[in-house]
Amino acid sequence: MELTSNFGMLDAAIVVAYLLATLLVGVLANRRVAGGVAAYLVGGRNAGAALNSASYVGTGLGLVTLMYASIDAFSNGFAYVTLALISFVVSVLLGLSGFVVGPLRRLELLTISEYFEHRFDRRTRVLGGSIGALAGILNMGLFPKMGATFVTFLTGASLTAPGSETTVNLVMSLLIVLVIAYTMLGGMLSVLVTDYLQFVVLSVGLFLAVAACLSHPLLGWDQIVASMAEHRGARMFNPVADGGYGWIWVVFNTVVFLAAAICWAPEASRALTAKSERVARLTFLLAAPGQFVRLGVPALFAAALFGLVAQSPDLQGHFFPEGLGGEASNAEQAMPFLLSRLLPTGVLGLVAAGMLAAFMSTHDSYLLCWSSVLAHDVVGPLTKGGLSQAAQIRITRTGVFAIGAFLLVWGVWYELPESVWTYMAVTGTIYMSGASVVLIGGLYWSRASSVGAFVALLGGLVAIVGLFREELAASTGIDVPGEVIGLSSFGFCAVLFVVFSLLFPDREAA
Amino acid sequence: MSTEDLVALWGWIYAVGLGTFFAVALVLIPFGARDVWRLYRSAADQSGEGES
Repeated sequence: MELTSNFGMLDAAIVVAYLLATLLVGVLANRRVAGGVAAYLVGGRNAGAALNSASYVGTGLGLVTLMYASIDAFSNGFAYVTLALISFVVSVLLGLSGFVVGPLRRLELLTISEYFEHRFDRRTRVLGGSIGALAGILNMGLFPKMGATFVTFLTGASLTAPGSETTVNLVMSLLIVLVIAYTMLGGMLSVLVTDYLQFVVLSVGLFLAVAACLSHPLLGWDQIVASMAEHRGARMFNPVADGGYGWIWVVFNTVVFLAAAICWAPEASRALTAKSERVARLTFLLAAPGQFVRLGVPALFAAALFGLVAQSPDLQGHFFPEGLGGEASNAEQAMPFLLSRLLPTGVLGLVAAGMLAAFMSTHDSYLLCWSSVLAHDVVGPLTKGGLSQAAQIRITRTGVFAIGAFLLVWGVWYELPESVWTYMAVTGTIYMSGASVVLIGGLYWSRASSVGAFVALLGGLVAIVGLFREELAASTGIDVPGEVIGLSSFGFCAVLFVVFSLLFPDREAA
Repeated sequence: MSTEDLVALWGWIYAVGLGTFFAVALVLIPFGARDVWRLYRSAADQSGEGES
């Protein structure tokens, strides 16, 4: 089997048609957002359960998620899919219990950070908003590059023309400009509607791709699992087997998924856009299968490619040069390569449109959420007399443009670090470790204080150490795994929050 | 748990996970379209109020 792609003109036409439809939605939504800041930031809090769920799944089913899941699963098989199960269970439990989600929706907030002022004080809100926006924007840094890598290998551009990487980067830049345009124009209304469109396209695309994968004459379920079991053993199926991830990884990721669902703005904002508390809870229940699919399906693609690699010495040399039991190489090419070889022209175009939909639906939510946090929770509270609704929308739009411009310069043209997942987890933990503790403590612990909340949010910054893990290991000889640093950050913030709340209670509580 | 048991377990997990997702998608797609329509109408009403 050769490193080629089935991508043709019909596929390109399907992708272009889809992108034009998305832009049209943004333009139409722009005519509907004159109703004020609530209409712009949370769609007027009028999203029904089906739309809200589809949008939530669309945001989570980002291309970067699909990519890093396939990269990890290429070496670790279904053991990685443990994360999909955790994510599914967390979403079901939040939906059934209404934990955090229910009280937040009842407060009728526009952002999560707004809660920090409602329960504590203004400086906690400003700090929470600032750290959230910093972590969120850093977290987005790798999205464009991952998207470009996917398109390069899906379309076969890397194989057909020298210098094609520059062309792909230009295409990805155009896509980001498109996302910036429709997000600036229509706000949350266009995010909800384009996310819905993207959910539809992605559902159809994933269905066709999974069917093609499992019905391929060289693959099928039995062939895929037999290859993994024969060449890499139990660690491909059991996360705590010898040589596998281990229990700390399982616990850390359980904490991360819970924290992301309740306080990571692009995801948690779905609790705020819902029409009612009942709809907010139903959103998490209906979105639970999507939480499984967003990690489970790319892992299945990666496992399927492993099945193909096991049958082809050429592919083995490219992806596992040390042998099938050794380290994987070029793992980021696994999913796009498999899709480009497995799917026929036409279906490939639909799947490509679905994947680009995934790319765009994550960007629009992130751009809007983090820029609205900057406008609503940082600039607004620091402005004397507060901001008018028009000024909030204007600053949010400026934020969408500025963050998008940052991504264009930094994200598309910057080299990928070695470990994408570590980068994502660490940048997310900078905010989530402090914010989740403060949010849960504020809602459910009567002795939580403003000083405790402020210090706990600051404590999350220790997770930045994780970004320099490899450099620290090289200089000290001590290599602390990323999940240990991440879990320690959550524990550190919880201890700070409890200790400082008890030492410095709020005046009303004292 | 043996590797054979784990393989069978993952088979069931995938069957249930994928089956549920595509079944829910069949419900979310038509009802989501209805919600989009309602959202546009409600945004149009609010927009009209804002302009008056």
